[in-house]
Amino acid sequence: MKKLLAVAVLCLSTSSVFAAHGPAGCGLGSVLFEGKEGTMFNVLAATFNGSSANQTFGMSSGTLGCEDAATAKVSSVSFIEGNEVALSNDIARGEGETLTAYLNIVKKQNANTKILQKNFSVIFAKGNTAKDIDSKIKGLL
Amino acid sequence: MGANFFGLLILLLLMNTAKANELPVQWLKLMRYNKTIFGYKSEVDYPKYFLAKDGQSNPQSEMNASIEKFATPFSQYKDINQHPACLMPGRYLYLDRIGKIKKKIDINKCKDFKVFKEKLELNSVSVIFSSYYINKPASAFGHTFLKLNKEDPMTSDLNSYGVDFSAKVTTKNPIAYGVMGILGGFYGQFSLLPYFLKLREYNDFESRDLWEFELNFEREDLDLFVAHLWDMNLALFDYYYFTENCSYHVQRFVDAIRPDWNLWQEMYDITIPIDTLIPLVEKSGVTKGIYFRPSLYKRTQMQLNELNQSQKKIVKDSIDDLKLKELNDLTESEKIMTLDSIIDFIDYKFPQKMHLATTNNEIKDFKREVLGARSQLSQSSIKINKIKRQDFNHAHDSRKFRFGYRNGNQSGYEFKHRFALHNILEPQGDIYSNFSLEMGKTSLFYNQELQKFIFEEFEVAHVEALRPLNYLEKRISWNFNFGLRNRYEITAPYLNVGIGPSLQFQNHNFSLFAQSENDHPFNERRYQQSLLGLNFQWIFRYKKFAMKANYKKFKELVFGVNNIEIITSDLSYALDKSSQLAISPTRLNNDSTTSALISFYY
Repeated sequence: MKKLLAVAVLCLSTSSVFAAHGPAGCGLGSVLFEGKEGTMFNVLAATFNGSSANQTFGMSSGTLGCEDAATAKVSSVSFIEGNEVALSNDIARGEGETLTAYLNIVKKQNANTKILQKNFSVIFAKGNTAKDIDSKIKGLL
Repeated sequence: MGANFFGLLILLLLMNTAKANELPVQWLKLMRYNKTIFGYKSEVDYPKYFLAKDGQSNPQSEMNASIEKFATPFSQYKDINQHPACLMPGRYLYLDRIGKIKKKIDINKCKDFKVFKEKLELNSVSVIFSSYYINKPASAFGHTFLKLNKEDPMTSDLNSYGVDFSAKVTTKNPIAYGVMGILGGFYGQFSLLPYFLKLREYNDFESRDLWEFELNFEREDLDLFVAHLWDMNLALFDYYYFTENCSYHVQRFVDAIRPDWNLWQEMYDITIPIDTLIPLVEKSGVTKGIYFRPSLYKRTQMQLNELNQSQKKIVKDSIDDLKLKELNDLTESEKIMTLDSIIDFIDYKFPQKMHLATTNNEIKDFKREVLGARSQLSQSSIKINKIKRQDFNHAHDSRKFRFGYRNGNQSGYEFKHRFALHNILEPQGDIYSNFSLEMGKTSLFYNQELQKFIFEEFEVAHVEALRPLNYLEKRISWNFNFGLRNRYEITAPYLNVGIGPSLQFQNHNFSLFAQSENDHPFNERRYQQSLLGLNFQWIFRYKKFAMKANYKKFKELVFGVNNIEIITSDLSYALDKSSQLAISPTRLNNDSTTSALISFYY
């Protein structure tokens, strides 16, 4: 079983260079077992630093579906998926490390963040997905 | 016959020593070879990692095969990325540097590797330690991984990549998971991922402190690091939780890049994450920067501690009702501090609902309301995300040996040893707090009168966590330990558990546990014991001095004996980072003993 897995893991990781944005998104939900398999399993997963064998990420499988297929870099939508909580905090405050990192990705390092702060409720309206949030921010910038 | 066998063994050893002297040390480290009595064996367990048929056990053969295969022209490969040098550029780069590559090729033509290098934009490498947060047993031992800094570590974390070593789990059965994790039933592999995922997981979701040690790599070290990382695509390792775990492999990786730092010594021993960090700090020239990210829990506490009584009341009432209370009576600065405290407390208290819930919930609604209010105030927040530090105080080494004298009903000498990790009375340094986590503690006693050694106890694990009540959280403190204990010359299992509230007043901690202590010799019912009652505990700390006193009042349930009183105490003084003095008076009903012990950490 272990040897079969080895073949599966490495075949996938060496042949797939750019993974498209995965269906699980690029957030903690895609890396944690938490909430999926029961408490005892989750404790063990974290204790042993285990990850699902289905997450065949290695060095070349597109880092958990967080990368843009064309550029092989973390996309702005993926960044929001992975940092939505911290990003919403920073935008509400008008500044912060996560907001700065997002602006680096979209190449708007000198953007006026106060505009985003004023429009917090529009950007993070109930039900907005990461894609919606990204569009709203880019629209305001 | 016996002489011939030993002669053959000696000959093998001499031959291996001679061979070892011919091979460059860095080659052996890059390929993860370990010395065995019969020669070498690489820790990499995937056959395709080796280019020679006997490559896993023959470093010279593997080197020769690598040189030969690297000489193959690119034109012979339909997909250039499958050329051996493109699959293993780290190996190629190293062999080229030591002059072994005669027919050079341009590895910049390896498209996938080139894209990989360019996206990393590697400026420096840091070893990251996510420390203990005893609220979660799974976070108990800490974890180490790597960060690939694109720029200054103070400003580039969220845009950089991280590298993690983890076990690839193939079972959903918790028991099988535990057994396989310990006995090498899973493969472990290095994986690349955006560092922000690890930051959010450890610093925010699990509320762990993150310590960062930026390595003093030169540019050529960084080039080899990136190339060797790409080699790891083909490297699977048997994962052993206690020995060859994440910290072991991170340490070996760094050691392979800079063998002259001597970070890793081959020895068959458990690998405790904190132990792999100490050489980074203590060896001169290895680390060029130390950084600290306080956990979300600590950041929240720092904010809450700055609030006045009316602000604290607003925070509590808002969180209790999940509805933001009026802030009109506060100044703008006070409003911002109050709102920032609520924001961070929600994230700390409800990580699942904030990070993992795929649909909306009342916590998210409340958070949105609070953030909306905050967005109307333009003044800046006081935020501490990351701090540059001059030093790192690891408090004490993990293993401890204690020796001392016991005076009482039976007098004699005590010998105790534990493998890991920390007791609540030990110095806390930068990484420990109000918890104990000890594993593998053996106690022996030399009875002076009987003139013999007696096995007293093997404690498999001892864990306790003190989580004082505060106005916002009513958390429970707990303790448990279990193992084997000798009572009446019978060794039998025991299990002790306690749960209850705890209060902290400056340097004093008071706890009241509902306590259960059980001994169960399976075939000797007369020595069975099941105590149920109360355990009052007082801990006091002041600089190098720490004291713990327990008053336990039990009823014995098996035989119905009431009013069993046990009083234990431990007064400790830390002489320095590696030693401690202790006096431990104990009383069980009318029997008193006192022990005086000296401890050494190593």
